[in-house]
Amino acid sequence: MKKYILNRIIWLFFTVIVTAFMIFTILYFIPGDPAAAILGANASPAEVERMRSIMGLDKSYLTQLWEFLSGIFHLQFGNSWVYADTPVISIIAERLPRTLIIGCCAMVINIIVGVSLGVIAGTHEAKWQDSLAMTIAMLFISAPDFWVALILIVIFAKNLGWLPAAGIQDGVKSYILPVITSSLGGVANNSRQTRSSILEVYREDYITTARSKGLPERKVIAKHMLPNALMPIITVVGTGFGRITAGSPVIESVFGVPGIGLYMLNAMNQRDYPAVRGCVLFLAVWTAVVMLIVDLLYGMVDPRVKVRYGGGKR
Amino acid sequence: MEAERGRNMKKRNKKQDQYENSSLLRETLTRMVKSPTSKVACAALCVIVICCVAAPLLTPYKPTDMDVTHMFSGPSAAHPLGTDSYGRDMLSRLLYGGRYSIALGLAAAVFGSVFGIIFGCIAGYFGGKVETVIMRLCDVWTSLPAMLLCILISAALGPGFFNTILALAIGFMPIGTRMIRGQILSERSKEYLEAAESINCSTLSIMFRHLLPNVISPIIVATTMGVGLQITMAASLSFIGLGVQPPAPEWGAMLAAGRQHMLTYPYMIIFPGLFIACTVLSVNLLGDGLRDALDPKLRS
Amino acid sequence: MSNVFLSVRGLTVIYHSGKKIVHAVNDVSFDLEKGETLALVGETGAGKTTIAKSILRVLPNPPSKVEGGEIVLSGKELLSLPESEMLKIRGARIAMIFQDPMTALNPTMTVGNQIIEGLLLHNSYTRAEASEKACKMLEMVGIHKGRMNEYPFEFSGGMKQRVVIALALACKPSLLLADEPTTALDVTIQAQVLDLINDLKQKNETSMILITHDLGVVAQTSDKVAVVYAGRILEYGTKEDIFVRMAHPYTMGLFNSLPDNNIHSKRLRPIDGTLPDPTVEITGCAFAPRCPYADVSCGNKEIPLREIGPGHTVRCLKRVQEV
Repeated sequence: MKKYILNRIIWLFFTVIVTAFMIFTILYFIPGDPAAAILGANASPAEVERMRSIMGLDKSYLTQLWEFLSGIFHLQFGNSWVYADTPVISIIAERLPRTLIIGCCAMVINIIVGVSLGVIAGTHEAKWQDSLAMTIAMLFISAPDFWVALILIVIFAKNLGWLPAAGIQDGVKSYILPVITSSLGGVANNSRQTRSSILEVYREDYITTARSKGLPERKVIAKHMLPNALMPIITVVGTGFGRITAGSPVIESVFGVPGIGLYMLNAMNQRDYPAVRGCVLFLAVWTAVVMLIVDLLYGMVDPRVKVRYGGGKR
Repeated sequence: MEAERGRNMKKRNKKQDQYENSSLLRETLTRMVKSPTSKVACAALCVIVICCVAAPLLTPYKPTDMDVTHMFSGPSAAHPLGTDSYGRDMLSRLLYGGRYSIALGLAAAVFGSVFGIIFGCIAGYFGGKVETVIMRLCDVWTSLPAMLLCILISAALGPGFFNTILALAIGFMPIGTRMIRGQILSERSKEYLEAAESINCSTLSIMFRHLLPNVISPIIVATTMGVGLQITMAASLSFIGLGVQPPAPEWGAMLAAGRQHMLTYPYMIIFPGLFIACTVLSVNLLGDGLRDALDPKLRS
Repeated sequence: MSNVFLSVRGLTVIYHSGKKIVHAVNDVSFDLEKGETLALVGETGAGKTTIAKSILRVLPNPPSKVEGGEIVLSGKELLSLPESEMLKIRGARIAMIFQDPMTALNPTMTVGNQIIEGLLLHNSYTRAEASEKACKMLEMVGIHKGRMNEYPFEFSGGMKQRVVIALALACKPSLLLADEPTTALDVTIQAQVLDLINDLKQKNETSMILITHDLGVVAQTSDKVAVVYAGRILEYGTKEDIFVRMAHPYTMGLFNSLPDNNIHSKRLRPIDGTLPDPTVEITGCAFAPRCPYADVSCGNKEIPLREIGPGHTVRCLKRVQEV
């Protein structure tokens, strides 16, 4: 087990470095001069030059890359080019919790609602519960999330006036719509995957064995079907975990939530490269760490993996 | 029996080969026709595509025709879906815009799949270091949330139709690579490949005539589902200002434009989003139907 | 009559397959006395497993449906019992051993827990008591009790089947349904498992319905035999009746197709033809198309079971006439 964990942690480092390299290079080759963009059209060439040297843009590619990479491991992403003297990391720290709140709440809804819907659909194959659940899932997947967001705003903020249209100043109320919108795709995916997992397990012989012992159906589902159907479900939930908790810049943009995604979008527009790098890297690392935890969970649920890695009782 | 099949395949002439492949196609089509949802989805999709392609025939307005005397008018006889902030007819903008949105989605999905197949085939067939490198890169690629990746690449490449296709395709690529390579891994140990090698088939021939037809089904399904996904992604990119720029009537861009006025004129966001949702729904249902039709377990 | 433990009358079961209806079991009737073993013999697809699963009521409900019939176990009619009552009977009074040991056990649950689960359902033991009883069951089937906490994948096929037997017999059922319990096992293990089942059966006075297509297994274990074909019973009697005084042409065909060392023949003698299409309703004798003795009268109307000896019945016009 320890070897496995070590392996995955090394892999995590590798991912961080490659991602950092990628993001740096992509931004480096974007046409246009960031310094000029930030200073505006009226800046003189001398001012631009000075800005460039402040930003470190006059150094070679490799030097800049090295500075960036070595800064990562001290969590130094440099100062924002737009808000000079403000370290990017502090802005990220301030905005991160909002993104994470939305993401984690959405994840909880995904798991609870998605899996339940899938179990209902799977155990009532071809009956109305199945059709209804799958239709709902299909609609959730097909409708673009930002469109649903806009519609919800019109209904709940304008027509009914129950919830705020944007911003986070209203406390819990302002998070309701973003969370609901962010959870739609995940609920749909989870329910579809759960359903197909349950269907595969439903016809297995050991389910008939369980029934023939006289177990009531709900116990058959809970103790025999679900644990065996769990593996693919965990995979889908897990893959989505990193992505969903990392938040969506688009959703944040629609609801005006000052989180990391929105920060990144604004930074891109303003050519604030350190900020962009910081955001992307943070989100990438977050996703990778979450996937690592999911992988470890895999090992704990599947007894075959458990025994192989020495976790079982022998 | 598999070895014999390998030998016989070489002996058969080209015509019979075509017959074999077309009977798979025929079988798939027959099964899809039996499913009512597939039929409806296919029909709906055809209607949408035809309407968008035949837009000039269906509406007298051009998407850029401004009529400042009729700005913000709701649905009416003259303008079935109303007009926007410049007095442009919404229906015609939506129909012309469909060309952008659907073309973006289709091209991005297809190119992404093709790139993915190529890399996946290389990885799966050659194995060893080549495979490790490609798969590791894939893993890093997919560890980034897809939206993020597309935003970055789109920002780097700049706005525009073809740049957006490229950005989306690059984001979609690793999925295809992983899938194909996984399929190849499971097929690689099967005997019919050994049989083909034993009768001196060239590497390319093995890859294309024996391996690929057997692994292609999940790819076809994934690509179809990918079209729906990419239409939404393209719309998202346009919505936040990357992707296709105004005055192009791409559906996402229309949503962005309508957003400013949505509290007073909600129809401006209802219709574009509805079009996106219906198109993506049809594509997804089609993909589901395709997957069920191609499922070997259901073939009797 | 007072000794009759299980009575099945007119059992008819269908499956919905796509748009077609599969007539799996057609008007099957038989009796079982206490402590007796009845063998259901027939080819694969004859409907034997469906009969057994109908008694236990574990047929998958959407595709399959019990169309008619009556199953009376010690005075209680099973088919009309509410599910809550049936739950008490399954596992406790009737238990089933399934055909494929490789897939019959939950792969994510330890072997011990699977047995304990059944015990706790039907008895008021504490967990510790149930655990002890489970250990005893494992020992009884020849598995060391230290293996209680192992998972099914850590056992071989034969051992898995023993676990399945332990599971089935844990609550001391009065009726055991064994569906081809040895088909998936090696010949050497087959003998062991059969002995084990017989042993336990005798100790606990369990009645058994044994499903098999192996006449050798029938000879070893059963008291009564019912020959099943296309969902119908074609011949029914004691072991001696069937083995020595076989009457139905199908039964004769089954015995003839066994390879015989004494006859110097280079070819086996199978029964010509194949099972009839179960989606087509059959009038008259189901076996007629393949029967060397059949004529026009065999296809006309429903042929009843006729008694040709004490307790020995056969569903055939031709043979009965000749006897």
